[in-house]
Amino acid sequence: MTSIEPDPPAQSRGSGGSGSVPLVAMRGIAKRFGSVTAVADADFDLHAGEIHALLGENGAGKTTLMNLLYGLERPDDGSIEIDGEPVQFRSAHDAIEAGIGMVHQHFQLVPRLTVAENVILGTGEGRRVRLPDLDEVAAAIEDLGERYGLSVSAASLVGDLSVGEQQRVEILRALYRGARILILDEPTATLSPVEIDHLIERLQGMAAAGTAIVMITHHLDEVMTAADRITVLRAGANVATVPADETSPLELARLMVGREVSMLSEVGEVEQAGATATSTSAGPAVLTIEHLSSASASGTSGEHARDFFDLSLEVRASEIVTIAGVEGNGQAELEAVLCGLGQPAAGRISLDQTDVTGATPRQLLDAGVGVIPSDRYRRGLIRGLSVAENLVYDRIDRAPYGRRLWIDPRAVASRGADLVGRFSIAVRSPSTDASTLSGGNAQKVVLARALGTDLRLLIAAQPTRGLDVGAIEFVWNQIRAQRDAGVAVLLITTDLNEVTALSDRCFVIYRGRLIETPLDREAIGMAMGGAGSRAEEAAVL
Amino acid sequence: MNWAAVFGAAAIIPLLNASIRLAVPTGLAAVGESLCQRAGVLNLSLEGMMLSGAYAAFLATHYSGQPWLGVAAGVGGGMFIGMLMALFSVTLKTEQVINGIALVLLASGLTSFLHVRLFGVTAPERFDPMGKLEIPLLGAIPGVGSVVFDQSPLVYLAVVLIIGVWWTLHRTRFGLAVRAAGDRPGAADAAGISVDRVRAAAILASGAMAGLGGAVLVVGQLGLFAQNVTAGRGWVAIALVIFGRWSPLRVAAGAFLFGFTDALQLRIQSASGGIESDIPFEFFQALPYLVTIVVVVVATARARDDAQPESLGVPYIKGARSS
Repeated sequence: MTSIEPDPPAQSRGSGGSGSVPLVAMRGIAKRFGSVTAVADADFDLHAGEIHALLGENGAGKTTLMNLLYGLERPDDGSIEIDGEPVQFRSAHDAIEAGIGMVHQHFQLVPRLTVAENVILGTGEGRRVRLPDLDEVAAAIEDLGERYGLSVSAASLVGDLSVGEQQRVEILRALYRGARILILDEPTATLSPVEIDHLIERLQGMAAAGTAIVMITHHLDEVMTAADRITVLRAGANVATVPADETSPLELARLMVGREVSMLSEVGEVEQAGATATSTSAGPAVLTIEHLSSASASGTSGEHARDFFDLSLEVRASEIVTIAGVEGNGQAELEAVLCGLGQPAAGRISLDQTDVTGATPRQLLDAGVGVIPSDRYRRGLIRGLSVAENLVYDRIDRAPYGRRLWIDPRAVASRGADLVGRFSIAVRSPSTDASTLSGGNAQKVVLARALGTDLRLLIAAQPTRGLDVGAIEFVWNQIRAQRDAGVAVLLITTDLNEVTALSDRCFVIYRGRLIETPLDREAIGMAMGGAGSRAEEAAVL
Repeated sequence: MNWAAVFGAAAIIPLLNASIRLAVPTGLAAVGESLCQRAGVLNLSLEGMMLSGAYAAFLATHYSGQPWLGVAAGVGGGMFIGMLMALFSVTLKTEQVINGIALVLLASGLTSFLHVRLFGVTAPERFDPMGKLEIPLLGAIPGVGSVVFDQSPLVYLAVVLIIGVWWTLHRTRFGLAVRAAGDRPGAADAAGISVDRVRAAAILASGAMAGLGGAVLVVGQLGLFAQNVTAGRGWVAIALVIFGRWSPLRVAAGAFLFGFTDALQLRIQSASGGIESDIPFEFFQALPYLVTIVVVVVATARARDDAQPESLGVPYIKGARSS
């Protein structure tokens, strides 16, 4: 753990004044969803005039903590004070009344309404039947926009605006409703670099004018440029609150991922196993990706944040190559292209030196490519079919399972029984409906279908997402067994523990570009947060 | 056949007058439905609402002898089906299409059953449909006066309501909430709007208007009730909403077209000799429906804008991830 203690409010650079009562004080906040603890004993405070970044990995509880402040959820434990007064919000409506505005990661705008209509939507309800004069509202919005450098045309339809402009509308809506506390959830996730710079500049202007801003993010570089103070959350609890000018990306990365091995007791062994595997020599290249792009990389301002650009890598037999990264950095699109579900805009994919760019999923399957898709329920399972049918549906038109119009139920059933046994899938019988499977068993079905034949290449995307510890161990062992049997494995994951447990080599994907990183938690964590240039420095330290 | 009796100069004013009159029941239902669909509810119970309204109006008028009481009962009859539709589709969030069809069957069965129970096989006596009310001065305008301002008071009421729906949709907070709830209920919810309340209110309004439409048919035009007296007008009204691209005034224009075809076929029918004619009268009766189908298909195929509410027919469940 770190020696850094949460800073006293006096350290904040904001205009709130040192020693004053914080605008927002959250103490001992806890929130559980069923058996999952999203936030556990978190503290957070916010002063007028500061930009306070809330930093953490996926699932660290950042958004949940802010949803609690915005009244979307109610805490199970702890207290929230605004201006020193305890508050209990029953809904977002109460929070808006108290001067809080939130801009969600997925904008909550109606595309077919104008900017002005979106801004007044839901305001003053029950008080007046008629809408206010929309021209006056539009003028007020444009005034507000000018004051904060967030110009929009208030008469245009929201659907006609760019993503950056829509975000401005969201911010203006909060300000129009009198927000003095503005919460932004992943505000840069869908913006181009130019738009990000512009946004940060505007936020700093707003903070200087006295607005308190919370910025939820996992981008270290943005935190360093934008924030006055940074609170790091890990596993639902705040690890530290530090002033931005007294910390470094390296320290933040360390705080985010934690130094100690946290998730599994076996991870120690696992990492050793990984280390020995690394030393075993990998075979010839199986998968070769050369300059693969999902879109032309020429434009810098207009580029879509979910695209990937100019990726090159090689996966050899008997090795696990990992592409780590925070979601939304282009890995889902890369997965689709590699599985034959999407076409690259440029570049080449080869399998055993044969060009397979643009091959269909069927051709890839026949060439020995097994896929564990990231969205197991949409791409990996058909819930209306039985477990046995799910286990063979990718080769249902082949002997011995099917011939011409017929399928052979006995061959399907015996294959089902065989795989259910080999992969210890816990079902009453292979003819059980797949919709009844638990998450872990559903993933075992996906795994069994992909691994039930001899493979050349395994593409495993988020293979343990949402699984319990036992199921994770099982999946990891299966993937390792494939590698040891000579299969080339490309692992796409957001989970740092998984990266260190399985990888022989590791890349980080950030804003659609690959960075090769050493197998070091801090280096990977930093690269995932966009501080890629400092990755080598971290490795040295 | 005497074509002058159909299209002659002397015939055209009564023809247009009749078009408006015949358009009103369908028009009221269709405009109410457009409001409901803009809120995101695909209300297929419209025919049931009309039928229920028609029967309630008939019963009230038959027993009280007061046509205006019949009109009020008609509104109530439509809202009764609306209440069930709101309960199933909004409160219980079940499949809207199924609910709608089930409620049409319910209304059809219930009204037929009650009618036979109450009156047996002998049809009850007809009462006199509500008379016309010529508006002073405006009614004296040549041409337009006799077409527009020499109608039943129910027609004037309908016109006011139709314009009222347009005004509500575009000039009131409720209307803005309706449009938001039909496109992005999640965004509306986040803005502090109760999507459920908005949608339930829209369904009830639709029920009131369709019920009134049924009442107009019975109290204002026929003076009697027969099994399934609405004869599919509710279904035509749903088609007209699509034809009118979910805009109340365009939907009303579509209803006028339907009324015009209906008036025209009646005129041709009588001009061609009525029952005596060589052409079966069913052919003429089918005309308004055929024209509606053709017009809707053409209009939909040619429409370039996608005016359909984005979340039409999708139950809104708080917190559930949609697109």
